[in-house]
Amino acid sequence: MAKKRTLEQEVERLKAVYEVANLMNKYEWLLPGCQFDKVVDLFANKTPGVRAEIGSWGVYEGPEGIKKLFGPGGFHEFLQGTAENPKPGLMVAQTNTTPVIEVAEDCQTAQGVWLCPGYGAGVDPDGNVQATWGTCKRAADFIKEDGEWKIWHYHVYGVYMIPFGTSWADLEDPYELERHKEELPDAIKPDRPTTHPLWHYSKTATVDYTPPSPEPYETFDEKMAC
Amino acid sequence: MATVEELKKKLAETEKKLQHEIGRMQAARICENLMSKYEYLCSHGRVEEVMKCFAQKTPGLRVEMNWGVYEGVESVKRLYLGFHRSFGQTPGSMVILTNTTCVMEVAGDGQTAQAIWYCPGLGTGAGPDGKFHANWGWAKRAADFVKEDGEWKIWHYHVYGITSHPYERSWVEGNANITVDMVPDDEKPDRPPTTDTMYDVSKVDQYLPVVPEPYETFDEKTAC
Repeated sequence: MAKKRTLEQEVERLKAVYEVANLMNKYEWLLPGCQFDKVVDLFANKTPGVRAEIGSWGVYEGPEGIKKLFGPGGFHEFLQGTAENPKPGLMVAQTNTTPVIEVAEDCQTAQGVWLCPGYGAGVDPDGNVQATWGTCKRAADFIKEDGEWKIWHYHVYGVYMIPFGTSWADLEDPYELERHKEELPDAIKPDRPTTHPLWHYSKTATVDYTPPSPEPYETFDEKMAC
Repeated sequence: MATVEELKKKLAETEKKLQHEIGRMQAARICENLMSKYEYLCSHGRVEEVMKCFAQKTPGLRVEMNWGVYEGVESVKRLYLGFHRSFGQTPGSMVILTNTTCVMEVAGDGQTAQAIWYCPGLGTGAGPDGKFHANWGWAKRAADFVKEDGEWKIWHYHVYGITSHPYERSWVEGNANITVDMVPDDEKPDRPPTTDTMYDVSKVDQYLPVVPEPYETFDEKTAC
């Protein structure tokens, strides 16, 4: 049976979908642009439980973890350089497509998942600039903080990352690029290990239905957190 | 205790505010649809219909491509009815630039909107040797929208190229894009481009276009 909502509730829910989608897309514009302060501000830094997990890097928890991962002097600045001095040749674009967004009936939280085809250029261990294709999945739980939507829980799941010119169906070792990850300085290491093993396409791997597509819900339950 | 008149007044104010917010949400959807329509029509060479997407009665209409800026209705017609006419209409020609990762802000006054998109795509066309070449190409789009006779239109439009290269060669080996000397004389822009965002291994990635912020009324200083 269709929910009975007031006009105000319907308008609030419409706005929530638009604002939450905008928020996730702003993240994708600001992060490659080295706008690290602004990325941190997208997160619910006043709400208990704020966290972010990217692929196999691990989990960053609380507002300090968010700063360690996204803020000035943190993980992404270590990889990309600063806004004033970005690393030449480095480029990454991980688009957000195919959104599924569910706003809670109480309109206090929302959940979203995206398919994220992308590409980039980075410096390999030998110092050469290498072009890569990469696709991932993003999932986020959002929450209202001081009347504004923020990212509360954020999780990136791998699909594939391959050097240009390589077919993802022909990779001998799908996890080779993972093994060449840079060793992080202690100050910006994650707070705990990854909660979900990195999945990478291979001819022997079955597609991993993670994250699941969110379903309509009344009120947020930690069991459904991304 | 509020009087009936006071309650009626409050109800009318609330309804007016809600209708305004509904109008802004509708505007966001309409403008996103408009940019998708632009791309769909453009990639199919339906250039007369593409022109209908633009604000032809509002001063300041302009379009910037990698090779230059087209200002005013007649110049924008030169770009689309001229240069873009062959897209998808000449055998073997195909150009597609999808719209993703949209950030859209509709003005508080509901009269303008600003948005940006990441645009993965591809293109196929005949080179100077007459042979067809398949290319991957990514760009970013930014647009300012304005209401004209009650209908949303594209007012300023700016394409920021990122990469463009043959399918068998990676973007770190070099990108080639359309330059003004490749454009026929009667389809050339009015002035040079204001940005150069094509990827190169020796260059740093530029934070352009910037993410639009919530705003009340349009300011030319924030135009794309």
